[in-house]
Amino acid sequence: MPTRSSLPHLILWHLITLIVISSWQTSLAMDLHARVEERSAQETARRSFMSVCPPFHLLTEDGAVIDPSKDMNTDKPYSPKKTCGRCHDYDRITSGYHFQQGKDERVSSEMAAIYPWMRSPGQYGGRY
Amino acid sequence: MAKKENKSPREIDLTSFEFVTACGACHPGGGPAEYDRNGHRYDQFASDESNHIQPNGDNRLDGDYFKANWAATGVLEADCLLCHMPAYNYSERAKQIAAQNFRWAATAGAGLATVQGQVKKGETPVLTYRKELFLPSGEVSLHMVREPASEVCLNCHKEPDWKKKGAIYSERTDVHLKAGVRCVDCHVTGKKAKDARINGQEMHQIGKGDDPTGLVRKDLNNTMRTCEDCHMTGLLKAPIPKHYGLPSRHLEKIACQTCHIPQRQAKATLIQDSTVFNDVPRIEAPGKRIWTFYGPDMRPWNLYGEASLATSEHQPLFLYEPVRIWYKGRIYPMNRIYSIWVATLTKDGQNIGQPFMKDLFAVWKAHRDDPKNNYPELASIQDDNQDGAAELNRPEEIQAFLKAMARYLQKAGEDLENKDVILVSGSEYTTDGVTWRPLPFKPQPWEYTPYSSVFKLSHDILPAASALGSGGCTDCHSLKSNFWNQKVMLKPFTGPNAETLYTTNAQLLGLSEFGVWMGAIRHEWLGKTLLVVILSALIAAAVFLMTTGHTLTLPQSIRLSTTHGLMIAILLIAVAGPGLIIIGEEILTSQLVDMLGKFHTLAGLVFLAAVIYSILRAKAARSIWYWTAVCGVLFMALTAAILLFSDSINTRQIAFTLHDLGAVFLCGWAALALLFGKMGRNK
Repeated sequence: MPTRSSLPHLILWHLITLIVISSWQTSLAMDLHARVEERSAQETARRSFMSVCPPFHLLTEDGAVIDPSKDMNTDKPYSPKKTCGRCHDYDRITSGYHFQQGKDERVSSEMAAIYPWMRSPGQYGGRY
Repeated sequence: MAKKENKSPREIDLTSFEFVTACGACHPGGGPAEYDRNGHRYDQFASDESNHIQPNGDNRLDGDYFKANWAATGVLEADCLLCHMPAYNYSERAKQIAAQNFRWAATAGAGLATVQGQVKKGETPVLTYRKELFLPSGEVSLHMVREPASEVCLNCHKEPDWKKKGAIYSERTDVHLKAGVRCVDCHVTGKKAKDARINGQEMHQIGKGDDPTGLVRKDLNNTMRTCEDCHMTGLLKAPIPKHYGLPSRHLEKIACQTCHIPQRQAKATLIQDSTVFNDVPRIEAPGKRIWTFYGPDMRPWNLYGEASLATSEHQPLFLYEPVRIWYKGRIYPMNRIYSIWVATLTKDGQNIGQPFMKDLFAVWKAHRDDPKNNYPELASIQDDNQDGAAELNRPEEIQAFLKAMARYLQKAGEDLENKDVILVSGSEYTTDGVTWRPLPFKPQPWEYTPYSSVFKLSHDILPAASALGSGGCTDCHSLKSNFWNQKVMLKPFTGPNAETLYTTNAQLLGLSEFGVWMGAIRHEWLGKTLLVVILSALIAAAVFLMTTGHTLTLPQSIRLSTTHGLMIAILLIAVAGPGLIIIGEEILTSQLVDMLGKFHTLAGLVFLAAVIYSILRAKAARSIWYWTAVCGVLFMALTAAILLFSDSINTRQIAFTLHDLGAVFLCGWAALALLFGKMGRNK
């Protein structure tokens, strides 16, 4: 049973523990690099071990946290780019053709001759 | 798609904003749904006052900002949860996009909040987050998966693939789906991919095949797992086929899909006629009424109406065999689409243009609103073949249509100087319905025209027991087989009754009617005949040996003349090759068949050398038996040489049957010679 004299020490130890755990969690987050090129082999291995996403904050387009329990930014939709892009390489992912739909490709001169209305080889501005 | 820079509103067709509104439901976001063609994020660029972008304004006729309201709608960022959240609500997302609530679509689709209000109506959407999804820390812990289930892919790909390929994607029609194989197991991506072009951390280049007319990222063609990747290695416990009785040339020249998709069970589009107006029910987008589709039966097909109501459990059953066609040296089952459309062509016949879909719709709508006064000539277009849909076949109909289009385009400000308005049908065009000329660009051998698509069929694989060949060679090599004989549409709506011209699949593959017939007789009765003759000849050889007092102990007791040796060698080569193959086709694997074939070829070459040697070294006159057999051997050598060196499907079918006919003759001749020939029998 804590005594009056030991209470301040107890509170202090709780505070220190909280700070240590928060720092550790923060350091965990700081260790995750969104861009693949910046990840170390250790981080890559740790991501592979994690395998699933840990709990995360939803973020707005401005990068602010959405938290209904604190009525924070609940009038704004979440931004997949800011939220998922905190840990994942959004630019690399969206370079895929499912996202680009031909926007990042040039129309060859042969294609342009046959289909003068073509803007890209994909669904965005394609042949039809 | 509209150009980025335009000189007049008349030039602007589909804008980037309209692309997102109309097509965004099947687009995962990012790319052109997020950034304009100069790399600016649409909403940020539009919100920056220094760019002077007006909501829904003309905005300097910029194809990315014309009549767009990006500042209010936001953009569609790449929505990761669309694929990675099993409980994602696609219809909710589509609803938000249709309401121009781009910024809110991901939130609604993931079920994180409800969204009230529509930007389209000038409202600001209001969110109500589901608090129960949030942890005390304010974070969310969502059910997300790394590898999506097939339903995710099919959400976007199912309906278009029904239209393009007659795909059903059900466990009933596809052995892979029944076995639990997922789309991502073959269409690999990221770290799982072995191909260096798509392998890597968080690489979302999804492995793809090779559609003949698919133009996007052709550098990534054939990055997916192939049939061989699993079925030659046993990966994912895939059965490794033995292909009993099948010569390996079939595996080289015929794609797996050809035999393993012997039948389609849902219609695919055969013709897209983009000229006449159709008023069948449940076509929601008005503009799509100027597309009339025809199915494999050449009957008009209310595809959009059916698709609005039918899931794969309700797709109407329609059985037919796919067209088989050469592509990059192999025969594939494909769906080739034939297109009919209106175009403009410069008078030198070199530069083709395409009027906007909305122009064609406007002409027909005006006419239907007031047929007497608006483009009355369109009333002459009738349903001449009584199939339920009008078509342009008679010259007067075509002329009426082209005249109406030309009048509309001129009135709309289109520059038609030095241009004709033409009707394109397949790879030909006409200005008057009488004279047809080839388009400036020739089609590839596998397509009707460069102006429509061809799709390889690779899904809805039926079980091995249903594959072509499971019933024997005559599944294909038969006069009754559809493989060669099925009708293939050549040109629709010809003549006053809008009749269809057909060719055969054999013709498409380069095989003549004679070649089909030769292949059929070889497998339908020549094989059995050859077997009977070989067995009879072997019996004759045994009788010969016994009646002349010979035993089979070599070398002392057998004293055979050259002619005897010739006849027996003929029989041995026939046995060690086609004889064993015909007998053992149920139990000999494709590799063994191949080995026997190679042995047969080698033995034949050695035998040919021996025959030539015997001719050159002949010291005494030979009998008629000998010389006839020699002629037969030379004939066999000639037909064998054709088989060895010719790649022509037609030549090979004919040569192969002649070779087998030669074998029947030679074996029969050998038997007769041994039994009745006076070749100096030893007593």
